[in-house]
Amino acid sequence: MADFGDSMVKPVKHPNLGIVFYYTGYIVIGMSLFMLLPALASALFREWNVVLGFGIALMSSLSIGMSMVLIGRNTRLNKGKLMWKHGFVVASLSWFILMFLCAIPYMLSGHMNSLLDATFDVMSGFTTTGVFLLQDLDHVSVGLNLWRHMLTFIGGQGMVVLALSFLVREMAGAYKFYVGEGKDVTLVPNVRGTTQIIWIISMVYLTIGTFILFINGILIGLNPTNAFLHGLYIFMAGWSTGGFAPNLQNIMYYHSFSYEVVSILFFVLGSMNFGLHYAIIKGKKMEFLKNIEMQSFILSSFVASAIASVALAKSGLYTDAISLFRRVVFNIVSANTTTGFGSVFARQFILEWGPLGMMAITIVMLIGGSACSTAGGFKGLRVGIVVKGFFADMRKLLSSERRVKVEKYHHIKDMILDDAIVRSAGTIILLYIVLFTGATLLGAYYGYPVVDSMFEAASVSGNVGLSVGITATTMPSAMKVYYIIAMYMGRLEFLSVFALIGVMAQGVKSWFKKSSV
Amino acid sequence: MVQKIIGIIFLFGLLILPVNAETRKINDLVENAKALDYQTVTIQAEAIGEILERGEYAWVNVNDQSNAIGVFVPIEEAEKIKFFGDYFHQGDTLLITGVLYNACKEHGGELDIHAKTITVVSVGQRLDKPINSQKTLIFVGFAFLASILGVYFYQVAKPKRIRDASNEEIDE
Repeated sequence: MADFGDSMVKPVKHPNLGIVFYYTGYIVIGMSLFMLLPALASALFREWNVVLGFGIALMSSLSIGMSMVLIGRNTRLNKGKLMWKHGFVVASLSWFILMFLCAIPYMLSGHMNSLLDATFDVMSGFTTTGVFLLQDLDHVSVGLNLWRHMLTFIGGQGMVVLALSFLVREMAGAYKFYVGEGKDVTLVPNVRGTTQIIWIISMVYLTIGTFILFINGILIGLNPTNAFLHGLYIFMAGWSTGGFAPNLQNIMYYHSFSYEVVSILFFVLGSMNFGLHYAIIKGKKMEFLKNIEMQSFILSSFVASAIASVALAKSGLYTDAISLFRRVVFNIVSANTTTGFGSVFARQFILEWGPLGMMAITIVMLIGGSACSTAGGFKGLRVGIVVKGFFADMRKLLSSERRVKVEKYHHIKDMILDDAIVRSAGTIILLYIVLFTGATLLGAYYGYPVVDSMFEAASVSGNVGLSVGITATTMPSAMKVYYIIAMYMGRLEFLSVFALIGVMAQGVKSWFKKSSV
Repeated sequence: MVQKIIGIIFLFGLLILPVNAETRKINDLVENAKALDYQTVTIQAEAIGEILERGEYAWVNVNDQSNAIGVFVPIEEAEKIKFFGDYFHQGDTLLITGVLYNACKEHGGELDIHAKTITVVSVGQRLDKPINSQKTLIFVGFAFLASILGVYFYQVAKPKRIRDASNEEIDE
């Protein structure tokens, strides 16, 4: 059997490539198996063509995943040593490959205009962004809708470590994959345990959230089946700060204050650091108020809501507290948590909010939610660290040179604010700004007004999902590609993607060297 | 006789009124919501989703390909609708005349329409979704490939001790 196997799929000799193939293959297999759920849902609703679409996607993805593992199988036999670069490359490469494989059900649904549009939607899901190019959303099958929301839910919690935790026995070095996917908090000493806790927290909330939204759905007139499905979708999109919805009108489809309040509750919870959830579960209730990320989030949401309210007060559009809450605060908090549920029409941001209101929402989109949560953006933790670092430097300048004061910040526990931490936070923020500026300039180049372009750029770079209408199937392909890159880099927080590019460049360089010799 | 003629003209007028009223696209309403605030507007769009009942009224969501909007209607008007658009259905096409609110005070600042009349212009239908034979063939092909790879993968990837045990069984 072994001889037959060796001749069938030859293992790669290069150990680094082997490691990458091996682990990426398992992640592809893991995500492929998730396709069984929407396939089953479609079968339940007798959507047979959709079942076939998922079947094709599942079988082709499994084939690719298994082939990759087989090519890299020496990793297991030789116990290949996992390094940081492997963690980063595996995380970014598996996202890249899965972007195409998970787009197969989209393409076969007939709701996409091109493969580029389909991959755009998948990347938007993985990165919990929420913008989409899918056509005729109001006629989409249950299976595809479930798949859209599952992608954002799984992407939000972290699919790389999830897949590996279940499928690979030896997980030494798992922390490298975990960091590679843009997460860093460790709730317990090992990553497998941390991943399990993250998924347990999410699944408990999924059950509670879906049930509350189901009851709410029935009360607002949805039939029981739709009340359950919409409850599940909206929870998944809210908790993962994805912002997808099963209908074109997004959260406005329900015309319900209570539905919006429940949604806001879950997307705020979803944007919180898993470490904070765990601390609260462990009885540290005051952590909610003491945490630097929560302070940053509350402050930015409050200031931005106030600015947007002032901007909108000029037009006299929303005159009562409920309207202000539902149309202003809701959108600001949705933007700050990088969720992207919208309770106004996309064009209303331009037509009603004015430049001041749009700038306020753009800034909170960039700031984003908490680190090690499902949210995107700079992250409240980094903004808090940079602001604290700035004030600490100011104090140093103004106080006596002989006085040495250790600056601290509170994130789960008291931590020392040293220059390296401030510099690291500042670098990531700077990279986000570069990404955002690139998207803004590209939009302006294609003729979109600068403020509109900034709004959309902040939305994709910060993985938010609110739109002023630029994101459409008719937008230039170059913008679609850039937006995909922006969502991808924004979510993985740059390092993994840089590592992948670096390794690819190295590969090309050594190939050229070999060819020239 | 005169009364009959007046009656016929009145009925005829009722019939042609919605057709003659300027039918707008939903995107056009959103774009010009300030100017059209509190004005009577007419749209033609497909009913989607389902009726969301709210006491004597209901919300009907409609989509005209340009965008979708919520229409607040008396329940007896909403009950005229037979089909709502979803994966299996083309919803009824409705001609809706009502007042547009840019920021409806009654509904938390929503941009919506409070319908006066709803006319079903064309009744929707259940959409035929026959099984695609091409997809079936492709699925069978990939399933075959995945099965072959799966058997081999199982041999290579399963834990060593199980593999050894099964090899021993074969040897015996």
